[in-house]
Amino acid sequence: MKLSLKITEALIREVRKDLDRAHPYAAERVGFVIGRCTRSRSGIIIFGSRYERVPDAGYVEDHSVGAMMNQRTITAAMQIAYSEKVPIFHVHTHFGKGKPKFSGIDLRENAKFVRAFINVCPEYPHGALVLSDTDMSGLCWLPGSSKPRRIDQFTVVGSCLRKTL
Amino acid sequence: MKQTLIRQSFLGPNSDAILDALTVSVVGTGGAGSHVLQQLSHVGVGNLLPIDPDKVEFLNLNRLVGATFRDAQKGQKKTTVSKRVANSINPDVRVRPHSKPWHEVMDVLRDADVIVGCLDTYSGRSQLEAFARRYLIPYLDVGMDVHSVGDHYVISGQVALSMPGDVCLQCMGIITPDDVAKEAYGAAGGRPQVVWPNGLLASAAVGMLIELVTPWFRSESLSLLRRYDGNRQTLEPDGWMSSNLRRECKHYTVAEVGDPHPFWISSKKKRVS
Amino acid sequence: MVAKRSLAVHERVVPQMSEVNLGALRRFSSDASTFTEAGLRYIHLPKLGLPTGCTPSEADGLLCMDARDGYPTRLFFSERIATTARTLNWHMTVTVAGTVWHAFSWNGIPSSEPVEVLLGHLNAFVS
Repeated sequence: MKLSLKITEALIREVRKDLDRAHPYAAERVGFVIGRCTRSRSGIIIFGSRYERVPDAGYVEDHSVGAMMNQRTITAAMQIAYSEKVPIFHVHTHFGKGKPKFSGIDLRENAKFVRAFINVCPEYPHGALVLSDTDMSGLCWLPGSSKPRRIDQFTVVGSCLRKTL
Repeated sequence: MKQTLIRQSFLGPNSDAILDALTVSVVGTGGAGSHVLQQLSHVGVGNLLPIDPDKVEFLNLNRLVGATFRDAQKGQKKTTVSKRVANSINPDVRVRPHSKPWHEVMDVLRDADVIVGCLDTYSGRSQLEAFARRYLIPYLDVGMDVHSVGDHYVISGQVALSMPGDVCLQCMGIITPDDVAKEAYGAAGGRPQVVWPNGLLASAAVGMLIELVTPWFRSESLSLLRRYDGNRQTLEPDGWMSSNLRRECKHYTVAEVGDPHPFWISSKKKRVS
Repeated sequence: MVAKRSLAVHERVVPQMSEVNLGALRRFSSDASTFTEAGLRYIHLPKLGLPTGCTPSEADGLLCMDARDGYPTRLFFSERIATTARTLNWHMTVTVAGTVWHAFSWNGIPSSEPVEVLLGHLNAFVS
């Protein structure tokens, strides 16, 4: 079964623009891509529907990591998942070109907050995305699954249609 | 690069790989659709999904590319002709024909990267566009018409690209609710159709698709609408589209994508294998 | 005059349907919900109970609150319904939200409160 994510060029641009902004004390920013889904012959397709920023006050001041969300931020994302019944994907950036990889800290933290999203909205996949300057990677927890799997294909739809594996 | 595609290397590095990985569905494989499929096979698109429930008839032979007299005698499926044409050009192209109305194979259609619509009803085109918008699939609509004006005939048509986030066929004035309403009450029947406008419009559609997926040419804004005057033999970008770079669709929101919640839930129960 | 040049952009702004309206509808379908597509407002009515004499006795309904196909409003169903009230002309199959819907010919129900529109269409099943 193939797992794909499709997102418009405009939405990705909005995400990058927000994540590029400097933060008063966090070394980097994070946000959430709110999605929708469908099932196709090949598997599941997740669509980026909109972007939710994390406000400046939504971070813990912790200089040992690039960015750490506080509980209020996670609760706000859980509330969206619960009330709107939508998939939620945490997103941040790693600079550089090529296919980005999640760090060990990313993987550890992803598992914690994604579990929270699953608890309030178990019918949908949830997960995390990481962007480089040129590409993206993602992990997804499918409904009923305790372990994440890699998102197999990304398609950015805009002035140029771009597919990456 | 494959030997067969050497002459199109100007489309960009890796353009052969890009095209080979692409999945294009052509919905309606009649007059215009048959041209589109033939060209997509030539240019190296790797995955083709021709969708059409109809069979070849003698009255199709004036314009159905690849269809033979024997096909009409046999009542061959149009999508079988599509596959035959595609694989005769490129044995490696992966053609999955569906001889059904497109709404019976929506699970397959959701996997398309691009949909080219060559249907002959406003209602069909409108619904197919709505489907493509919902699943973030660029939709190329090919339309041609022959109608009488006074004592002579007029051939007209257009190729339009309906892109998620940009103007739609309603915004472009190509399909209006009145068109669909009149069609609901009007008599269906054979409309005049000829091969050369189909070929010209199909070629324009393929050109727009190539512009979308390969880096060979980047205009200031993506060309969305080309209008055809079959009497003057011209195909021109629409003036309003070309000049209006800040375009916003009044009918579709980008946020309205994927399945509404109850449909996602119910799709789990009738999971397609 | 060659190609159609009516480039006037539709000015319709899709109004939101209030929770009050949906509350009234949820007496007929407890999980009623709304969405839009192509600038038209739809109300999804899962497991909509149908009047006596219908087979099946319930089906998923989709109410279109705006004009389409030459009708001021429309009620679609996930399957064709038989009724003892009259012979219905199931003349249309459409795709909305990636799903197939069926409709019979029943015109003249104007757009008003959703529950009034629904009842106007359900009258087709009542002799």
